[in-house]
Amino acid sequence: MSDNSQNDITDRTSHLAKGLFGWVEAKATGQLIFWGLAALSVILIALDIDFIFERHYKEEIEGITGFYALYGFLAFSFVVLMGWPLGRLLRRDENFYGDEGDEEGEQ
Amino acid sequence: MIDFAAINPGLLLILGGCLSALSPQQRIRQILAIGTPLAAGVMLLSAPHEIDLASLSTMGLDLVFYRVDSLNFIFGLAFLIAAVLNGIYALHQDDRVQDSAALIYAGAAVSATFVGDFMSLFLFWELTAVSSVFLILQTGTRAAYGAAMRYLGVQVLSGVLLLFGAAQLYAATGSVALRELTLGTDPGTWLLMFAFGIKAAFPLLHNWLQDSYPKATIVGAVVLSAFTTKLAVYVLARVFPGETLLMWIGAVMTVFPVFFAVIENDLRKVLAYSLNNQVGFMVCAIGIGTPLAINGAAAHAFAHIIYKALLFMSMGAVLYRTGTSKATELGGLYKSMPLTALFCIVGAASISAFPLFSGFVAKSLTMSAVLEQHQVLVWAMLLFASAGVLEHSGIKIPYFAFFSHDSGKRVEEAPFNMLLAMGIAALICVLVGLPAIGGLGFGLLYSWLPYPEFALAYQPYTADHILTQMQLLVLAAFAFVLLKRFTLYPPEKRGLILDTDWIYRRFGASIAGWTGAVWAKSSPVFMNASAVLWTRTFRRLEAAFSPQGILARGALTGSMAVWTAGLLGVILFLSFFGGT
Repeated sequence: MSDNSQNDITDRTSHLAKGLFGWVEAKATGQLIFWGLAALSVILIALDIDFIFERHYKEEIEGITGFYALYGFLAFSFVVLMGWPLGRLLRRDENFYGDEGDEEGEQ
Repeated sequence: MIDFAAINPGLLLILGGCLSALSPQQRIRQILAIGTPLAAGVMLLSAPHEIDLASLSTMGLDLVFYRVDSLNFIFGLAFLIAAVLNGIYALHQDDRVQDSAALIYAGAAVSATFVGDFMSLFLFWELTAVSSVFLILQTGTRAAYGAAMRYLGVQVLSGVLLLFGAAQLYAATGSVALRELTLGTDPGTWLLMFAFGIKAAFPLLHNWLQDSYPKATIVGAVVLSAFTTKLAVYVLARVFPGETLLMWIGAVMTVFPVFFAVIENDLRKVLAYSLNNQVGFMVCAIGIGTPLAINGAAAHAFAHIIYKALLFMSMGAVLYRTGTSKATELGGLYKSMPLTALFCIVGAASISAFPLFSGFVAKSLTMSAVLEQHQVLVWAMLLFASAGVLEHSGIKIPYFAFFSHDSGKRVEEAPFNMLLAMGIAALICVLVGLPAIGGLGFGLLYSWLPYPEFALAYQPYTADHILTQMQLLVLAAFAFVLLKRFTLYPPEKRGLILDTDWIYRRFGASIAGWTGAVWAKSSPVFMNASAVLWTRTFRRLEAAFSPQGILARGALTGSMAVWTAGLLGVILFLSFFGGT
């Protein structure tokens, strides 16, 4: 790019990108997120143990220690894993209805 | 003399839209796009509540054109904020059709929010359909044209059902006032429910939304996401609060789009499914119908209008710069669009209901209301859907667009006006989500709710709420990294996901095509056969009734005379003997 002001903008953008999200490129980040979330999960469930924190609840099932944690984990996993069979069942060619022909960027 | 306080603020937007359509100068249209919603906002804030500010009685109908109360105020306010954001987001483009359509559409939705009778509602209900279709048409592709026509058909059908329902109610009760009704007391109530259900995209009536919104223009999708479905939510809250059927419809509505969103590749379509799921929470809350639940629905609608617009804006910016919104084509965009990525993450955190963001303070109301009514199954469904929201809107959208594997695309950051609109939306998401600090925080949002006294007595930031919500979200996020690590997460694939639109786009179209083919082949035979049949029938008729026909030959008159003479003879004979 010969345009100087254009260069300035892209430079500033890349600085901003580094500042905001540079950390995702670090090698350890993946491991850190994985183990960080694992640790946080354990802490959140531990906080729910009755003699640490007496939680109020309206329904019996809701009051079980770690109920929300387990439910969230299972619901999320179920939704994602259902993606495999559902994808096979429902996914068709992009031009299934035959009206995508004139769109740009189509193969 | 015109009393300005008696003018429905939506009409100002519609007027602005009409002027915009006449203005070839982009600058004037830009001023109208941002200025009229701001002016309308001032009008709304200064309007007295619970009074018919403009009404008319004609032909036995009592029409109310402008009435503000605690229920419609927050919806109208959210619509006007969305209209301002849309105006800013559209500043970079010089498109007269879209500028005017967006303003008229927003104006129609605002007008519909503040009317007090079904006839006026019908008028603006149809205007939202007719004006918004241009936002899809302007894409200019054949696919968009088809989707726009299907969209128009479905939306107009909704309006016609509304009109029939209102007419039926008028015949039965003599009133067209927009009021609370009980489903099933009159056939008209079912027609109304169907009309609202189409607009709110109830399960099985939902697919017009996923069909059309992703095919709309970049600005168009942002504009569309705000108004139509939330107008239907408002009307449902007005007409059918506490209707148990709605509770179940809403619960189903939160759950099923989650599965479609997981396998969908087009991220704008993922957002359309996510919109469905979010409206489900509101519909469910309306079905519960307690003051806490209605507050939940209204708060959710307000928060949702802003963060959903924000998410559509961020994906629109990506589409604007890269030319695609497909997950398979994107990734690594944080390097070139860091601010867009940041705003998108704020929107994702809000919709996922992380504490400190608007979704949290809105959704807590609904979840508490459901639990208070001891609807455990409904509650379990909503909780399941909450984990689903984190999947498709909280993680999938920002992850596949801005992180994931690097697509190698190096583009410019979004235009300044887009960043500004996204920045303001992100700011609102945080400002109304924070714990109460001064006049800001969730207290601001809660003070606008339909039952502010109930809302302000409610505390979303309790240790219980924060702990349980964080458990749900963190463990779900942990499931994500775990599934990714063991490559159990289904890879994004190009493709089209079948949904109920298959019924009319493939099955219905096939039936129509088949009928046409059969008719083309068989019609000559039918035409011949019917021609022969008609000729013969006509000949028979002619033979009997024409002046030369059997009946005109005089045979009957002749025999009649003979018979009459005979009968007279018999009577004479009988009376002769009878007399003696």
